Amino acid sequence: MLVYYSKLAWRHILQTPVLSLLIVMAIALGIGASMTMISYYKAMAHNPAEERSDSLFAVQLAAYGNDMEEWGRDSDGLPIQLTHQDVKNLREAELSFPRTGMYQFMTVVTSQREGVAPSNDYAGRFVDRDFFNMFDVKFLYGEPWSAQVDKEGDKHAVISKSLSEWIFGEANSVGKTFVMIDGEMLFTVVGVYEDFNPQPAYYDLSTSYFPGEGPGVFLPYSSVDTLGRFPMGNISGWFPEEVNSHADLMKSEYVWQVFWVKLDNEEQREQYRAFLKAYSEEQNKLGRFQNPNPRGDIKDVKTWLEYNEVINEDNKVMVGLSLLFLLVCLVNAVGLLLAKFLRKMNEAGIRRALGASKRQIFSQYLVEVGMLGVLGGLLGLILAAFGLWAVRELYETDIARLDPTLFMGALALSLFASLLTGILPALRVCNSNPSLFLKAQ
Amino acid sequence: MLRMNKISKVFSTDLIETHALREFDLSVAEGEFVTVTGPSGSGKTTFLNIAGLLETFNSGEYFLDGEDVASLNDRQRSQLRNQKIGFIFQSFNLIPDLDLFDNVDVPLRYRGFSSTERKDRINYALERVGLAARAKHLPSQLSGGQQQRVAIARALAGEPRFLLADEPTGNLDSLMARQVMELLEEINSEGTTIVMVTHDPDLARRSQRNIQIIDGQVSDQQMFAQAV
Repeated sequence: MLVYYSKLAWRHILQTPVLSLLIVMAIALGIGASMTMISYYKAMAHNPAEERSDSLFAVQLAAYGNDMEEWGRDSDGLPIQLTHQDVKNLREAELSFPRTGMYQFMTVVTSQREGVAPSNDYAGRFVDRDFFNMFDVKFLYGEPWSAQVDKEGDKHAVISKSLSEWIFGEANSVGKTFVMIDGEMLFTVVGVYEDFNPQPAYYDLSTSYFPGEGPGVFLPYSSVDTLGRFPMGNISGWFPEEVNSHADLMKSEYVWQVFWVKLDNEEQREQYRAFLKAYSEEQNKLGRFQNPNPRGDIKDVKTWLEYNEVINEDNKVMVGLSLLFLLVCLVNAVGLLLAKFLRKMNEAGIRRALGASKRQIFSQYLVEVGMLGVLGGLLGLILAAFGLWAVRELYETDIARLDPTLFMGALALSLFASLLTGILPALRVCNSNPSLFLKAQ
Repeated sequence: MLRMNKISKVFSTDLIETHALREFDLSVAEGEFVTVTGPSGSGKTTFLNIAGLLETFNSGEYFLDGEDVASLNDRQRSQLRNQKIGFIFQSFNLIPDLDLFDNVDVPLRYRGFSSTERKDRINYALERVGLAARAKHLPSQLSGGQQQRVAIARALAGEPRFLLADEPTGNLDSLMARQVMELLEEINSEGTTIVMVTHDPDLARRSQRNIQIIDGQVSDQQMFAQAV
């Protein structure tokens, strides 16, 4: 009977084109708006660390004076960044856990190809070699620099595939050298990775949450002193200091770097918390920290994303409003469906007289509603794709695209919503007394 | 075939109760052709709707082909209606946007017949009323008499044992009315029980028995010469 009902439904849709189009539009607008917001929200709420989320920890220290209790994202008094001195100390601590300090900088890279611009700006990042494993950077060629370089520093670089192609015209450039930083420093490529740009960029939320492009080049953190690159990101401090050079910045109490550690079990976490506590107390004694409550904290990726309010309350409100809008559209669709179906009361009466049960009439009209819902869902997906394109243009980001899950989700939602919408009109038709319509033509 | 004992039907609103049928008794034997007459508002259509299982009743008993219909749910009543009852209406009640073939197909769809069987039955029924050649026409392309013949074909396609006709010639001129009546008589002669509501005393006389309803009750019964 489903084929028969579908045939009748399609015929009826074509017979009432204006009403059908209005219903499809009502569903499509609701689905389009809600799917745009849900897709955007989902992209922002995405935890790109996935199974590594529970073992990666951002490190925080109460590195400030006693008049800064409200510093920090969550009123816990802890800044999200660290001073260079602290990152250096944490890196050199006698602990065997994988860890990395990092900060972002901008650099000019020179191409060796003819026919392209001679130089271009790229985002670079100082990291330790553990970074690549901790944040799942996938190497296509080569490998991270050595542990020796991690300690002593060298002009080694790990670059993205697209940067390698831009500089050398080929993806595999391991062993080759290129010019970077003020057009005078020569770096050797030790590894090439598949372009890396997790969204949100959870490894460093002090810059952009959703950068359009990921880092093009990674350099050893151990070269920070010698290369002297200013950071491209936030710099904050709890008292004013005169900073005239990169060396001044490194010696200052300004916070501008981030530090991550990998801790696989609770025992390690306890050990690290105790270490941070002891370290803070030690720095307090040295007079660097002047905090009545010397402490540090570690936060896993999920907590870190929430703590930094990557998904802010406005987005949740927007999702709620878009669902409310969907509801308004569906209420409108109910009215339109009633108008559409009431025209068919007579036919329903005839069918009842000829042997159709109420359930069969109900099913017939629900199939029609389902078809309208699917049509509305498909149109809604086109609207959502347009909406997401607008979001990407507006925020200059690559997030929020329609994926297969959302595609199927939108169709399922529109089908479910339309069936829900169609229950009342279909019940009205199937529960009407057929004898009223059979006599009165 | 049909037996009603003390059937009562009351239509209630907030202000008024209308007794459409009052302790209505009637039996129709298998193969009979019974006409029902009576003034407007006497309860003829209510009787027909109850007989056709389109309406329920407040009290009394109704047995259709030996089955107590009061105990049936909507699905069972619909199934019984589909299998045993054919309807013919004064205003034909064809579905305007379906062609003749699809109109006759409607009751067969709910019967669950195979595609081949439905096709055979539709073609046979349309042939029987002389409209097989116009199977792909829409009802609006036919005259009133032809539309009523399609309605009869639709009623016959499922081979019901019981045909209910509500003033089937009411909207037709005398020539077409006569043709439709002859068709009904032919169907009855093949064993189908017919109950027909009519205002026309001449048509009533062509049946085997006429019952008159006044104020929701059978007030008079008249047997005619054709009676078996």
